[in-house]
Amino acid sequence: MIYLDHNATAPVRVEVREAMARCLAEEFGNPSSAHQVGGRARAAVEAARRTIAEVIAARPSEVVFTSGGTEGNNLALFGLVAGRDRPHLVVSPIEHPSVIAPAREVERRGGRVTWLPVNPEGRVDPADVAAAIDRDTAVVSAGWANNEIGTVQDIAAIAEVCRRRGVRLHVDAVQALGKIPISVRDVDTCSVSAHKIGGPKGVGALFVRGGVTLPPLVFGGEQERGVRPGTENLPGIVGFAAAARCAQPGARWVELRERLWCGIASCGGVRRNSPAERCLPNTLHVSFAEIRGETLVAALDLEGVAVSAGSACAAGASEPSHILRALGRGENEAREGLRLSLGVDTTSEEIDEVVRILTRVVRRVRGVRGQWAANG
Amino acid sequence: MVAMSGGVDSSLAAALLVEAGYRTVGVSMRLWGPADGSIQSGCCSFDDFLDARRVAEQLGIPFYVMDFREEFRRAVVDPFVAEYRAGRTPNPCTRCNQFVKFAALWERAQEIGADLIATGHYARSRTVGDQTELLRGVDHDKDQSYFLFPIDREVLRRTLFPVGELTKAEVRRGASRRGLPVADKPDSQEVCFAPRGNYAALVEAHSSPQPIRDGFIVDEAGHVLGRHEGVHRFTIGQRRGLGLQQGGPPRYVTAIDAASGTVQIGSGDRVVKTGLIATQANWLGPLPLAGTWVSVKIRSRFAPQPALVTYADAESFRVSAPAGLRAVTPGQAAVLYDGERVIGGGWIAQALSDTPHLDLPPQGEGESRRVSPGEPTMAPAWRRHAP
Repeated sequence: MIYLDHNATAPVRVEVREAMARCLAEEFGNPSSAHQVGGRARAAVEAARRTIAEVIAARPSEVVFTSGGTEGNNLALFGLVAGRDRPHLVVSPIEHPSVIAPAREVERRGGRVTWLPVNPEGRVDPADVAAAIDRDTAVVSAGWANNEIGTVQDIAAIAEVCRRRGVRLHVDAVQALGKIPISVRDVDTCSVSAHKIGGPKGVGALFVRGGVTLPPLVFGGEQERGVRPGTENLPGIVGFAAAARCAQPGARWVELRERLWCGIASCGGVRRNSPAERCLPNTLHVSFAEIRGETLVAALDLEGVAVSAGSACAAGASEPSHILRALGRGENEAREGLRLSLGVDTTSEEIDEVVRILTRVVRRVRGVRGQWAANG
Repeated sequence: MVAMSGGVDSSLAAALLVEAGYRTVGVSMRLWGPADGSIQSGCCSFDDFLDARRVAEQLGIPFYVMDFREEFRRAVVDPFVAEYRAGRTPNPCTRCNQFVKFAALWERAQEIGADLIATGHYARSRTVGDQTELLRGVDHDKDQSYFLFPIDREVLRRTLFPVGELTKAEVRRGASRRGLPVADKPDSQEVCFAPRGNYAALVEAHSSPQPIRDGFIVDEAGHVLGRHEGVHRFTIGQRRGLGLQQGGPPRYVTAIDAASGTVQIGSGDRVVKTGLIATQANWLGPLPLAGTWVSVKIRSRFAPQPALVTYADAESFRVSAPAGLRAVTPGQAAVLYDGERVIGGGWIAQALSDTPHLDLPPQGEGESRRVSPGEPTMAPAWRRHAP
């Protein structure tokens, strides 16, 4: 099986498995306990916190462990509007559901949301951010890198606008972590997740800039400075740190991705939705004219290639992509997306094999269509 | 590719195919639910998908949920609403078979490389020479061949009905014996997109921008007996829910005129017609000659009645039923049978009540072309394709 769906989740790295197995076997302590067993667990959590902080250029005290990207985005957005009467949010429309749904919920509770325009590559113009901010604006939210098409935003420029206007900036960096270098120095809150970089599912972190206070969403103990109570997910946190230590963001993928694109482009009738520049190096999002992404996902899966059609409902049926819609594509085009996302272990042989299989599948699908067209 | 609803019939169908040696792929069709691109949308029946997935996992076959909401809305739900509003009684399951299962799904099947499709319908197919015939399911109580008349002949040749050879009880036993998790799941009875069978509410919810008009209930002389809240609430032969005062002999809906919003009621004998005209016909074998005696079914729960074909061409036909057909309902299908075999069918356009009296077919003639028990038995088509 060739796995090209690393933006959905990445295989758990050997280093992570080993670190977690060791932790499960040896460190059962509660980090809040006063005895030495608890002390060792506390030391493991704090060591992991330092690792995550280092990877995103934060201070350890600014890292809050969470259950993942969705919790981090909820914690940040609800936290940053807390205490405001009629908060205004400025949100990019191509965000993950875990940003869009909280924004809609804020709206339902009496707040306002301005959805930013994006250009056909999915880029947010910082000038539009400036124009959208008004005196009620509590927070601007933008994804560092888009999960479907891979567009990387100019976070530094957006942060500059927010800083000048005195508005908080939350950034969802779940897809960016491990693929491009990220530094949270310019932003107020930033969510990351372990499983996208070869860590375990169910753990992530939220960067909360020193001086920014967030009320908790769930109430309980004093863990994670009271922002995120509950006994720490020790093996998960240890696994996250192990994955973060292995992450090597860089341009290694670009060559493979372009090799993939050249092969796919030779099928004809295909459009590249991922921008050629300022894009996640591992991500290639394409549309084959009048072929549903869902069909290609099933057909490729039967041939041993795992890819994604973008959004899917919990049952696994694909949804028209709200991201492609936001880029100005029609309802049908929004069903034609196919996302191929490379991982650290992807090889050029795999890329060539995927091109061969995809070419064959696309030819078959077009043949079926031709036959039906001929039959009227 | 086997269409798996998560119910017991299609689950056992999948199991039988796997056991027969087919390389099988299971697909659940997402048919209904919001398709507006919003990211917060539920599934049409999430638990059914989970059941289907569990069965597929147990059988060790790949499984996918595929989205047919657009096709379903266009081919089934919108016409369902339009038909009711036009004073007719739609048959959504047949339309779903015609345009979604045996068209869009078959296309998707070919696209993912499948050569055949299978469903859990209670019907049988049999290839004789280069003709593939559609036969009633062995379990006549559950027989679904009525809903399958519009299937394209080429597609029928590529279709397997693994449970058509079985009774419902055998299907449940088979599922139970194999430990399928859905063996005891209740049958679905209703139109899948109308919750709790409330068709009127569905029609009303999908009727903007032209609002529903109310109208009058009249007797056959045209006297107004009452008011109603829209012709979509009525079907030919309906007795209950007329909203009229009780007492007197039972009265039935005998005609619906959507243009004037009039619902006509009359006594039971006025509901019995002696023939019908059907259009948009589909023939699954040679065109029947005028003068041929057949059996006709005019809705799903209807014992086939003898009828004489008085006219048939590629697109339409007319039949006379001397013994009378109760509640011939425009919008429903009229399906013609030669014993077990589906000859073809069409959509009822008009009920006829003035056909001249005809003699019943001579005893036994209607039987002559039926499949007799002594005929050499052939393996059912779905088994013969097995590698």
